[in-house]
Amino acid sequence: MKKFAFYPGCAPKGASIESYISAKAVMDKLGIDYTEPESFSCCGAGNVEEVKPSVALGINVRNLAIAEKEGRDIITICSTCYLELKKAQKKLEERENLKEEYNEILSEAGLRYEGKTNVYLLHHIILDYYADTLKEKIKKPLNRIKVYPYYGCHSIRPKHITGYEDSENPSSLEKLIKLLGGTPVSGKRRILCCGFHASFSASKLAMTLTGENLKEAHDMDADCIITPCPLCHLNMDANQRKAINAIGKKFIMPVLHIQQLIGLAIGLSPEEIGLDKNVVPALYIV
Amino acid sequence: MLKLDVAVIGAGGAGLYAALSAIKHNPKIKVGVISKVFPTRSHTGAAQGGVNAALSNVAEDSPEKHTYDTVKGSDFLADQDAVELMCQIAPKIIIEMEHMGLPFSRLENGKIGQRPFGGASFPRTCYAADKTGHVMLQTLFEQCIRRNVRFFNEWFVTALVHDGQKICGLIAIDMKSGKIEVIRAKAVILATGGHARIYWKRTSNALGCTGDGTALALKAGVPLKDMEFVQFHPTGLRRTGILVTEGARGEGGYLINRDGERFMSRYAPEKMELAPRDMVSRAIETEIAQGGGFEDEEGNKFVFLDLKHLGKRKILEKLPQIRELAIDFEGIDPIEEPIPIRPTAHYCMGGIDTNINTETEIKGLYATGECTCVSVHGANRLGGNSLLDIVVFGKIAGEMAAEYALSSELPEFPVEKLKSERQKIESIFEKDGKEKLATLRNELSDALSEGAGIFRDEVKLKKALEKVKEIKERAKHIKVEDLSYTFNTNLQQTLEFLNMIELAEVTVLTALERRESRGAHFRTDYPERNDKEFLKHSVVTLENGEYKLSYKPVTITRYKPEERKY
Amino acid sequence: MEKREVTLQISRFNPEYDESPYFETFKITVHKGMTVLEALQYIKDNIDSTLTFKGFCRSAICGSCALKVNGHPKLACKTQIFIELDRFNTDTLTLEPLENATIIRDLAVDLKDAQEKFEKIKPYLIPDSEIVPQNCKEESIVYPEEVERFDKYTDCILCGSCYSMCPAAINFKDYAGPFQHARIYRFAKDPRDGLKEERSKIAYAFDLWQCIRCERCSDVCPKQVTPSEAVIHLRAMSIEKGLTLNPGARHAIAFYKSVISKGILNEAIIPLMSKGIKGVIEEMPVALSFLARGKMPPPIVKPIEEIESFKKVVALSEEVEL
Repeated sequence: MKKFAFYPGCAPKGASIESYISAKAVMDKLGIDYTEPESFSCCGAGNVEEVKPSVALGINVRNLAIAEKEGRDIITICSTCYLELKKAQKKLEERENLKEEYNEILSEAGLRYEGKTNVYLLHHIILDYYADTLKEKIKKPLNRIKVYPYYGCHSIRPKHITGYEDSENPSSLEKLIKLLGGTPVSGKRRILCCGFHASFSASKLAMTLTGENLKEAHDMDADCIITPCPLCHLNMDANQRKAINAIGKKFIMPVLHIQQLIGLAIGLSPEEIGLDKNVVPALYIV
Repeated sequence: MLKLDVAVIGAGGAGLYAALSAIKHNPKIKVGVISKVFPTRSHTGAAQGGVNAALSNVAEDSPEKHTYDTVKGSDFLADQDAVELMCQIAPKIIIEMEHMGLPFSRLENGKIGQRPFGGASFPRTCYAADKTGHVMLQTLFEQCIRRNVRFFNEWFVTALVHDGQKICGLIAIDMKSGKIEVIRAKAVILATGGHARIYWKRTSNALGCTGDGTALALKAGVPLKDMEFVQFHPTGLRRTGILVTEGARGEGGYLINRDGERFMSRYAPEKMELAPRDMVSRAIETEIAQGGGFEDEEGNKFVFLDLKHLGKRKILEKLPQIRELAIDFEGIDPIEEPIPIRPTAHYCMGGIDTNINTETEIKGLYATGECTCVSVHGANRLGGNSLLDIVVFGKIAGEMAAEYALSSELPEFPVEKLKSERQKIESIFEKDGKEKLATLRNELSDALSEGAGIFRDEVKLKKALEKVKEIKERAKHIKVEDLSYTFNTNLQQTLEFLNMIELAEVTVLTALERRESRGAHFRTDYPERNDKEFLKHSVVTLENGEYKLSYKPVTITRYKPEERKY
Repeated sequence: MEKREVTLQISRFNPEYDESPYFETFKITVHKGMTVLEALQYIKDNIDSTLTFKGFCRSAICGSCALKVNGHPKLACKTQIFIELDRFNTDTLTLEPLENATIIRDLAVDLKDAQEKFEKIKPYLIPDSEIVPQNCKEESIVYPEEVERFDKYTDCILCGSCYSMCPAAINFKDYAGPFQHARIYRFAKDPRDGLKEERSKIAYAFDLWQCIRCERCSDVCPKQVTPSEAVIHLRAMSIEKGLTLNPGARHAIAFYKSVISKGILNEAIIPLMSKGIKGVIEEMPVALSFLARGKMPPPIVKPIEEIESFKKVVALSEEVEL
């Protein structure tokens, strides 16, 4: 049995609380063995790196070391957390003397980093280790509903850092959708940026990009979009009206966190997966 | 008509250094660099291993020792005064480039790192991991941006124009528009690189290393020297011939045959894998011929370069680029498996005959870099000396040309040359098309590889010469089928091929006439070096459509020719 | 040897008589290991001599041959056809010229806009007279750990792949571009440079904060130069230099202060800290929708466990030079 340390990050505990609720519900239902270290810190989301890169690296090495101390791999439910942790790993792999320097710092906190921790997104774990368990637990297969798999950026790029799948033609979400009984509708824009990290520096562009992504899903007749990233989710869900207005269109497109779709398929109630907290109504999908 | 004081043709290490030197000599000089590719595409960027200088950072070394190693490496054909000059200047010019920002790999004490290389008695090859040529080219280009050097990029020079005594300028095709342009210049520097592409199917060189400048000089009446000496780099990737730096052996890599044996012990027991390139290439070819190699599905015969024992860390630190090449082009990770390699046509020791000041027989026409034969490399070039050659003599060319331009008037341009050049180019569109470019190019490659490869003899050379002459005739039937003006690469590749044929003929001709073995030129029928009859440079001039062969003495200052053993 | 029948859909365009690019289809037999460049040369040599493309070193070092394969920028010389066919599960590859560049003809492009911007950002060493000796007798002393800080940024071959896909470069005329920022950073970290962190001001002048952090550049780079990292680190440098009057910078600073004080982000105060009252007002509709759904982030957050050791790690990490 694989052991994990659950790393929810910040958005899932706040503005994307439904992603946290549904992740725990799904992990519990699938019998995933996870702890929830309260000492995990924010990953910095790249913003800390934009102010003090060495601190961003430090806090993420600390996060990795905390999991390593427990002997557990890390499950994330946010693409940016995923990338930030993997970037820290890669950096210390490439630069041995940095690893020494940070271990000296970590020793002040009673921690040590050897690079033994693996970092995953939740759906990686489910596909790689719990696919059969999931299949057994499906109570309400998705009845062919059309699901647009939105990868965004940080779950797949840069490929030499993320490494889980191909960044030009990824397929993990399509696999998952099919497993749940749905029909994936894969558009070109599923790997294009929603612009979340430019929300303050280039807000108009961000909304246009999100709007175009939503439009593609709409044009392809998708019933909903799923995404592994609560930040992409915020842009496409909470900011949907702004985004659609930015491209001068009008339509509704429900956006779910991956684990919400899984929750629906395995028979969890909308409350159990926080579906009522999505801004764009999503209750009518199934 | 464009007017320049100094026109540099070629934007590799030699051309860029020449341009920079000319501008530094006198900022008022109008310098222009004409290149058929964007400058950082030049083949200097593909050089990997390093650049030699007796800095003594790793071991006690001296320019004299460097000179001796170079002269010995050249099998005593190099002009020793030029070699001395190059090796004397070397430390200073490395430092000059370092001051420009060249990101050398460093020793623990912060000094420039130096690694062992073939034929060197001390580690003197300064390097930047295994991408020395790339960073050198980038640094020189950056400096050209700093100095506002004027570039004419993607201009293909088709003719040098002179009035019988001095240079007047050049004619080029602006590839983007297809227009034929004239540039009048007081001084012209040829820095167009080598022509190993005459071995089209088995070379490490870029597609455009077709010796255009060398052919331009030949057609302008300038002699070519020592053309028979072509260096086959021992380690080119099996399928593509892509270069795997000598640095891989410098860092400790082994050459292994079918039986897992380090066969170099039988050919160069002291230096082993770090014997000079001509010796290692011959060793590999001999091993293969005697059944000690492997053969793949396409018929490529090869041996292995084994780096596994160097360990992951060393490979990632010192040889990251060749690891990528092995993975991308052979599907092999050298950390886990040995790399399949075989000798590949790599460098032309021969080229435009210049003196130690980069001057040619035409006033105002200078030449520098691989397209020339000064000669500093003689019959065989040591690794790390080419990157040195191009910057040392590039600098000298720039200064000489600048000085000359300052004291000269801009010559009249004979306009009829433009008319005849235009007609010549247009006529290629009107040939009958009975022969195809790609076919003849492959046939030329086969003829050269067969007859003028690593092992040569009278019979094979004569056959090759006949074949090249036949190809030359048949080439008159090649037609440029692309009729467009815009970026006509069909036209460019055809013109390049016509240049290649000339250079191929001169190569085979001089190889035939040199009845001895020396350096990279090995005759199985004359396997010994014959200083009595052949301690001289072969010189070929084009006169009235015929190649005239003559000889020139070698300048010997300090080192009397001796047996070349490693 | 394994062979496959492949269809290549190649973008053609000759400005002399075409209104706009169109696709032409070529069907050829490809063997295992054959690259896109080899296929193009084969077509040019044997089928259509007018097919125009750039290629030179064919060993992924000169940067001439970047083009789009099925929509993604790649170096033609090191892209194996079989691998692409398998990646996209198809027997047809579409070859197009790089985006965000001027098409000269067919697949050959002119990167002049990107190159002009490159020249403007001062992509050359301006020597620091304290480190770089004035004479030519001694080299500057640069330690290996110092070289490590900028070494990978010297790998850039100016192929233009990153620039072609960069949303910032495509949408903002004044944005320098990924490889341009990467070059700025290369010199900013070179101990021999006279400007060093001052170079971040150049980057700032070229719209440094317009990068949207999509990581496309670092993903397509054939040399793994990671320009996105250069942009992020230049941002940090520019903030050190006091260039903070910028929504992106203010947001990053607000985020940073929030995280280092409690260990997690206080989402509720971010709009206020980043954009002031204006930000709060802009975000009002969204905030109200959160309120309605009971998920308004709290105005005060609890610090993480072991916050003291976290703060120690933060304080000590500040001293590390990356």
